[in-house]
Amino acid sequence: MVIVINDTLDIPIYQQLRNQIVQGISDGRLEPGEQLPTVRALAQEIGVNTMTVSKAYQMLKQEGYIYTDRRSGARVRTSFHKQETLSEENRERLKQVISEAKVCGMSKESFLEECAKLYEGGMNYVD
Amino acid sequence: MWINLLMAVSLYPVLLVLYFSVKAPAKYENSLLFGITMKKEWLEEPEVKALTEELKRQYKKELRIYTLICALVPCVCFFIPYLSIQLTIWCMWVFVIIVVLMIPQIRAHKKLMQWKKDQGYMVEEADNAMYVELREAGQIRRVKLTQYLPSILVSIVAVINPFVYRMATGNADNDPVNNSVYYILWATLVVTNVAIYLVALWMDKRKTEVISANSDVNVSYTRAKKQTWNQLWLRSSYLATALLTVLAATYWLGDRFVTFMIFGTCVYGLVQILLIGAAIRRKTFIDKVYQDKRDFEYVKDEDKYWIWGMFYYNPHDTRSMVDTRYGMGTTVNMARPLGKILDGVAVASILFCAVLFAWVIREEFTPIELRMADGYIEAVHTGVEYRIGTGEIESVTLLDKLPRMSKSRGNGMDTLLEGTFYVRDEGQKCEVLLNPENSCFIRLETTDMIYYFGGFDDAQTMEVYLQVIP
Repeated sequence: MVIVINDTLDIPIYQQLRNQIVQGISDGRLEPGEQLPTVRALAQEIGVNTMTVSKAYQMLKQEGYIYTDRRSGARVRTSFHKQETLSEENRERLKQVISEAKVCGMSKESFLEECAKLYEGGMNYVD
Repeated sequence: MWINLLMAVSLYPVLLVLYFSVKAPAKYENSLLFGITMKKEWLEEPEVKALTEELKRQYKKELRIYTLICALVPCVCFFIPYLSIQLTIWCMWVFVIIVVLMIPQIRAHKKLMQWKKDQGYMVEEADNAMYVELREAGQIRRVKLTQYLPSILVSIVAVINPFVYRMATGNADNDPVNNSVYYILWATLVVTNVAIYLVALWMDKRKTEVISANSDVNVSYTRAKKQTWNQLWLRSSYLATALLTVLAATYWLGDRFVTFMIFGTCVYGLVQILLIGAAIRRKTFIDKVYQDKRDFEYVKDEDKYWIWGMFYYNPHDTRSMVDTRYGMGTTVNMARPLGKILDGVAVASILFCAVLFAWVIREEFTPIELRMADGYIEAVHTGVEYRIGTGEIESVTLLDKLPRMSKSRGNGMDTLLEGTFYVRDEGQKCEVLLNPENSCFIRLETTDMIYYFGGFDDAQTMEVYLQVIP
């Protein structure tokens, strides 16, 4: 899986890393149980401090996307907690996105069509 | 004559390698043409296609002409009788051809850059997005210490060679070769070996190249390229050790050591160039195989940070070394401290070479003088090299022919022999200062040394001899 890191964006690098790993899990580029690089290896590959990668992995672990153990390092979870509602945090983010779309003059139908395209672009949740 | 042939055999391959390396910018690859970032769709426009075809045609023509001129220049050395001038021309020629063969590229680059500016395609702020392959990140490694260790250890162990010689021959006073020369060569090759390993290790740690959205392609491409690099470094390391082993063996031959050293170094250089050529060929083959698998459309325009497409200057980039825009290799980021240091070292090396050549020319063109002064024989070259009191002289002989001798330390040119030479007929090392092209020489023997002297000409030598003989 190829990720994109841009250090000139306002989004911190650990957040970019976290977001893209979640996207990779959602669209199947990262398979259930797939091994992730070690903190040190990924930090070296990106050219950032190990603390940055460690923070991203900790977030992913807390949110339930990955698990870690001493022997095998970090791996994508094979199953995820199934809930059919958005978290409060994601709801607030979605509100923000919808607000900006409305200000730009996007119609509800266009917005939903866009959402459908993005949603169906390879997402597979595992029970 | 043989020096010129030796230099030609050793250095002409450099011109060949350079010629084939600088052909790379004329080929559109990785969205680059003549070191300028060009989008594929621009090149498909008829006007742009015509412009680039003309630039390529002009570039290839200029390159051929410049290469031919560069190839002819060193031929003058065959008509110059002075060794110092020959060596200076040959060595400076290498620096000059590197610069000269850049000129066609610089001209083509400037024209294409101007076109890009006129079209308004120049990017002011380069996008800092970096694409990273997650699969096997940081784990694709080809360099192992166990591969390099035997080579490094053998080269280190060669330091004991002079001690082994003394133990084997029981001769502690008359080493066959000047040991300082041997140790300098040893240290140089050991440092080279260690540096090769460190460079191999550093290059092995480079990140996986992203050429496709398919991780398998990225991983296998990077693996193939790293293997090519490792093979090159490993072979170079063992080649350096092989040279050191040959030098260690020829140490025991004494007077043939210098010949083997010169010959061995030239062969080493030639083989090293062949190894580099093979690695470039392998890398080109790998790129060709993976060309169809490239599906990564992202084009990062960093033209702003590249001078003529060859030199990288980016104060916002924390990397000290970056990949070259074409071909294989890396270049320094001149904005970083390491880049500035390496640039300084390069300039200092060129200046040092210039000073060295000036010294060699001075050595050859400064006439020898042999004179009597206040009861001393003085043999003078760039300074008073030898001063022997007439009371110390046990015997003095006039010679019309020099015995066979080989240099242990000093200068051995066509018109100057100066320093310590092993004289076969004497069975020992002697001090020498004379012009071997003369016909008249003096052999002086003192209690602890034998000297061979000659003056500026035969008349001067004869004059001193007549004053010295009892």
